[in-house]
Amino acid sequence: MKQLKIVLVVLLIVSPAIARCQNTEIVIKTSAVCLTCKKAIEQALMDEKGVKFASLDTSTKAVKVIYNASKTTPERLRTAISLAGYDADDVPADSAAVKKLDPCCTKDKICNEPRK
Amino acid sequence: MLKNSVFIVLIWLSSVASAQPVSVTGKVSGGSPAVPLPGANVYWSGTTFGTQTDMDGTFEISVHGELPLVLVISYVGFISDSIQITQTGFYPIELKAQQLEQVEVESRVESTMISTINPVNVEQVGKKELLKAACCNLSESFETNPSVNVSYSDAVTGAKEIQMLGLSGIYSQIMTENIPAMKGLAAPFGLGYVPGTWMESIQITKGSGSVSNGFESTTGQINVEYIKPATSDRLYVNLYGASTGNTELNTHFLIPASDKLSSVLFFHAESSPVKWDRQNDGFLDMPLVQQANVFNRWAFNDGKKFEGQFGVKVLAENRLGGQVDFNKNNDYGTTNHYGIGIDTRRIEAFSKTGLIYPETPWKSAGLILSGSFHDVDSYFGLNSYKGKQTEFYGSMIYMSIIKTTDHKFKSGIDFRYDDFNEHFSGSEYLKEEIVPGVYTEYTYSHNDKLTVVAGSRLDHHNTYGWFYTPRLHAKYNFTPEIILRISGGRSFRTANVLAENMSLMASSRKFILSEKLNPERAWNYGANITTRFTLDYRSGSVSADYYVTNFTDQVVVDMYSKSEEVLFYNLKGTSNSKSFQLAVNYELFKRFDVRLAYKHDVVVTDYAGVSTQKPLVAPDKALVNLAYATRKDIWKFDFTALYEGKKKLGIATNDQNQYNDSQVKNSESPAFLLFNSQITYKLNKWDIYVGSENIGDFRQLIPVLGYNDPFGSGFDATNVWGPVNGRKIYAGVRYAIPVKKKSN
Repeated sequence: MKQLKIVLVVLLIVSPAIARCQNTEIVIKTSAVCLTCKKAIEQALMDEKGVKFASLDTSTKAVKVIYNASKTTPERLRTAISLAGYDADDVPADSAAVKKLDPCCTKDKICNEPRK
Repeated sequence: MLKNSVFIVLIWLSSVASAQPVSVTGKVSGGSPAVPLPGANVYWSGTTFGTQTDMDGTFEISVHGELPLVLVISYVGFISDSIQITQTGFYPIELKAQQLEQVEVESRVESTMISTINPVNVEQVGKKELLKAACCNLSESFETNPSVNVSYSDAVTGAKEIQMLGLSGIYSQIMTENIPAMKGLAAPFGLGYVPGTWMESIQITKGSGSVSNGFESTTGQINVEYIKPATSDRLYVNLYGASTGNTELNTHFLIPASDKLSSVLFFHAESSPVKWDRQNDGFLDMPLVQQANVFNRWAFNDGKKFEGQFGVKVLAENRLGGQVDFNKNNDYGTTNHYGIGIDTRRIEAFSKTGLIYPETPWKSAGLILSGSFHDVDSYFGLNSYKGKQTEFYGSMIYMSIIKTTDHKFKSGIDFRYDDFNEHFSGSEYLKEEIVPGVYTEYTYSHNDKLTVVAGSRLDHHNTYGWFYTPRLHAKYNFTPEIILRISGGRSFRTANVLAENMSLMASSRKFILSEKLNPERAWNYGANITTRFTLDYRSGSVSADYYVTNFTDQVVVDMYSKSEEVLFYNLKGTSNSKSFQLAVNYELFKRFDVRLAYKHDVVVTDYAGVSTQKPLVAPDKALVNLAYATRKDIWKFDFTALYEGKKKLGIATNDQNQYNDSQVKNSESPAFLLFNSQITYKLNKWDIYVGSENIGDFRQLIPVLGYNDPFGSGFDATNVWGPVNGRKIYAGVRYAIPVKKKSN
């Protein structure tokens, strides 16, 4: 009972501190064409160390990433997207990864929205 | 003090949340030709802050947070869509009708979720949570859930009982796919009839449930959804083995039929052949169990108006417990050695058919029919107990709206039939119950703030006459993330004292039914407040609730008044339960989820004029669950710590001083901690897991009182307050071949 209260208090004190770490925002232009691509890119970014949030807008193909600048760099984020099979700003998609993509997700195909 | 801290948390969270009075409008349509879809769910991705479309498919939703945001639109029978909203305005949305075998793209979901849309306090326990307990059946599924507690009801039969709000599981309504289950004779071992890997999800409703499910749920409802042909893997195999000698095989696979018809066949076999007596009391620590369980289900969908499901389940189980040296051939019916044997055979079947109206998707009609036959043949030393139960349930339901989808209603009639034929200690007990009923439930929703569900039903029991069951649920969103739910309602049930108290047969106590037992009636009311929050881009929730159950009529099971008898009589005086729970969930860092929960249950009943705490209910309980997954869920680590406070034992008042157990003081069990852990490694289609239950090897040292003289007057195996089994180490593999995705 008492322990529980202590844990709660600790959570309350610690959480804003966590929130104050160096959160940096970056927007990377990708070659995503559909919702499957969106999910793949977001997941690839979330699997990167230091990434806290990734959201891709399929209409602009831009992905917004929030990350801890002391743990990762924009270059690494672009590489992660490339290794997932998509272009990231000026970094082209890794050709081996492109081959593994769902046919729907290759950039030269026109793929209609989410319906996978 | 505790309540104060809850308020502080809530106030603090509300200050974190920010709201903007900007909104997005749109119109949702679907089908070919496209028609407006009323009642479609529209919500902001990741927030579950949502609304529903109107009669003409239009919606308005206030912008929650900072644009751009993803808006998700879902509707039963259609593929969910999501669109990026970069600016406010009007968005026309067309949904595509769903094809069978559609695989949805999955995002990371929390394993236990309390919806912010549902007016009823329902916790959704998903697949991810179910995998946290590798073994074995429904009873283990609640290990990481604070709302439901599972206890061993005695030391020799291995029966397990759930408790909700501190009250016995018989006061919760357990259903499988919304069909009443585990009633009557199936109550003591019913949780063991649902293998873990067959389940897709569990919904736990706290407080009174919907009237559409009947009049029985007093403390809550638990609904189990099995895996369905549309969601099943092509093949799934789970092999499990434990250091105690238990082995299990679970498998299910799809049987290809046609485009319209599909089927899954489930199979489960378990065996625990090894005799353990770590207590050295001459009694098995757990019974030897052998079970085979087969379930075949079919789904039919003509792609237009008609859909149907039907299934058959067959189960056979043998349990053998008691003294290690007991040999049925030589010792049955004698006082050489004490033995317990429980042989169960059960068959059940169900069908569910539904009509949907493609032009008016808010309208639907359904028919549920189910039946079961249960046969149990058992002996407890010299006592024998045999029971047969035939059950039938039929329900017809119609759902529609009144003018707009702000006003929905459900209405239906149902019918319950139960025939009991029980033999115990030379007496025969016959009971037939015929209960037809009618109900209506009205749902009012006012934008996305307020939802009220008012239901009432009227039933007629062939012995006890008419009874009326009113129920009320309401939900109010203070902000999109702070939700208050209240509920209240009445319940009714008839007790089956023999089957429900079968575990008490493992004692020298005589069953005394001194009067004609009345049906049990109770009022339950309560409130829940849930706050969802996002902190450093990771989500969490805080949830607090308080529920009160007041019995107006109850069958009291009295272990206190006489040491050589267990008395069953109608409640004279008061009996109630007050339950408080606080739970916190948060993703503390990436892929690391923490759950903390504390629960306080006060259950007090008048036993022959003396108001006393109910035996074997711990007023204080706490739970900590930590779960971590590495990238792509390759490794998964799960750790649970459970705390159970002191419990009062079910020992006659005049015997309490003679209780000869150093662990127990003043006929109160000690508080204890249990630790469970599991590690899973994913390798392509394989999952390999190892784990341990009760890592600290904590045991109740004397689970069987009077074990030296099992046929004497002091014999009692019913006071089990802690684990009888010590540490258990297990390992297993899961193998799944998913259905190939059809790319169109």
